[in-house]
Amino acid sequence: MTDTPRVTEILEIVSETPSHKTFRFRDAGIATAKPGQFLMVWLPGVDEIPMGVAEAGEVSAITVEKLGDCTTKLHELNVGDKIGIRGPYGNGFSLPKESSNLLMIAGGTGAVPILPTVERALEAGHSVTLIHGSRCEDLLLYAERFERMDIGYHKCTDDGSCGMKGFTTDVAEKLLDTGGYDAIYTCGPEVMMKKVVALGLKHDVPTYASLERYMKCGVGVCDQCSIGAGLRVCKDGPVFDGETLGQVADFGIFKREASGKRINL
Amino acid sequence: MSLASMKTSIGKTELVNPALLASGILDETAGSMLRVIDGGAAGCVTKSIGREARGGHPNPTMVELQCGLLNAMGLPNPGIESYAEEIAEFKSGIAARGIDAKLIGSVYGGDEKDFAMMAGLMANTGVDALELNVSCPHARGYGAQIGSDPDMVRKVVSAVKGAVKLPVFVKLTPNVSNVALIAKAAEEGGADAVVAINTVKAMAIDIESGHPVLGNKVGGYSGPAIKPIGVRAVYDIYKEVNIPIIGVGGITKGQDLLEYAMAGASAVQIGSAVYYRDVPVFGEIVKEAKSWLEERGFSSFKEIVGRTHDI
Repeated sequence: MTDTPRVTEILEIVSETPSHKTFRFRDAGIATAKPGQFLMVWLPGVDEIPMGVAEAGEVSAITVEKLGDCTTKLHELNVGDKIGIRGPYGNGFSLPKESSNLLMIAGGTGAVPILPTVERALEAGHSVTLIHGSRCEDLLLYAERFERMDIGYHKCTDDGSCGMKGFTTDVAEKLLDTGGYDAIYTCGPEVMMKKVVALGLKHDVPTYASLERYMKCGVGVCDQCSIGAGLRVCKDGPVFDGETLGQVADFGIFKREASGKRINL
Repeated sequence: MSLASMKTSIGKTELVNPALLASGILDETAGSMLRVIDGGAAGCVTKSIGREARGGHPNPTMVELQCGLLNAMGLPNPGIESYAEEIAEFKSGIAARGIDAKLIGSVYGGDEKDFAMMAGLMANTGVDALELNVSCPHARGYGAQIGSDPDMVRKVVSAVKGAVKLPVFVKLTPNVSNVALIAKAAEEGGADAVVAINTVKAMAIDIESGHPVLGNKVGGYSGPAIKPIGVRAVYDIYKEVNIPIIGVGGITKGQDLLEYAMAGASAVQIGSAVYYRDVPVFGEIVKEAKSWLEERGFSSFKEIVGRTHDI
């Protein structure tokens, strides 16, 4: 076995929001990725960073938010440019076997792994309610795609420019009070997910959250992304259930910079 | 079939079994090191720690090649002050479990003064022994540049021994013409044990882009490919020195542990095997070695240490 980056050509680039671009490419490994799995994208000579898989198939895609040096350089790429791909890695979201009523909660770029999870859930015959939040309307990633889907779709923004003014967790609390949900799937800012996990525990609804951490090896060896009792976000996660996260002292509190030093969230 | 004792010792440091976690793998957080102990290791070696926080090299920092892992992490560590918290948490976790597990603090430095200072700071955290990383192959100014010079190794070890009372282990690089000579210098400096080997200098190039795969361009190779190199190093060192040897390099199964022991290793360190067999690999390797010994009528692991030299 070898597991080095597989260099592939960018086939298509879509500007999703002022900060997000989707890059489409062909890669046999990513074609079979489960929703919620991630890949390592390599920009030769620059860096390699983890990215959630947005679309998996004959043509796959990642959606990149412009945040640091590497993502800024990724945003400068053109169709025909080359990137390296390793993965898919991690466990991904597992959907229930029986037809269920699922609540999904996405915040900001957390919409990336939620997109294929919603699609797969609908294919499998589940009903889906999605609460989707961002800072403002411009940043509601994939909003048009979600609107075309057969789901309950609740938008909210911090500034009230689209949907309800407020947080996803405010909407979640109201929906959970009415009951009827079999499971919760969430990805977004960790402080948001911590509240979602608490809501899931309170309403006795199994909750699955996809975490983000600074990653290096991506394969469970280097310890850069570990949380709690040695749980590796890259290998044991990135998706953890609410009960597990309830035991993780780091969750919603601190992450680690490249040196391993703790930094508050 | 009699039961074989897997207890061993590195000088005065007693171990419940010969399998230790190698430095650099799953040892940035207390939680992971405790998980490694729960996975059957007799102890852990910490990440190599310096005075200040260090982010390490840009990614890719680790990739899997045909017969091993290629890495250039670049000595990432949060600095001794922050890392002391992880050590405290590890120690309280071990106390809560009521078990015997050792913690070996790995330190790096630029010269003998650096090493002596870091050894003192690491000793203050309450570790059981020290490992001097004079062999990291890909962090400029540190590690292997010292570890390839017998005079520097002697100086560094002797400065550290003058500064601390703890047992001092010296981790050696295989990237020298005669590793036994360096081991001898460590012994002369007062080392309590030597650890052989660190990773082997290596590189991979992506031919599609023409770029080196590692962010640091070059790095160190570990895993099954380097096991014969490590066994040879331990074999050569055993003939040269009287201090114990800790074998490391490509151990992924019980038979590998036994091979290192017969070459002369009193204990071993395991790292890359976590990639191939995951965290329970420590206990599994010990169990595999124990079964092998019992099937052949040995009553203890210690009996086979250096066996190849006696036949």
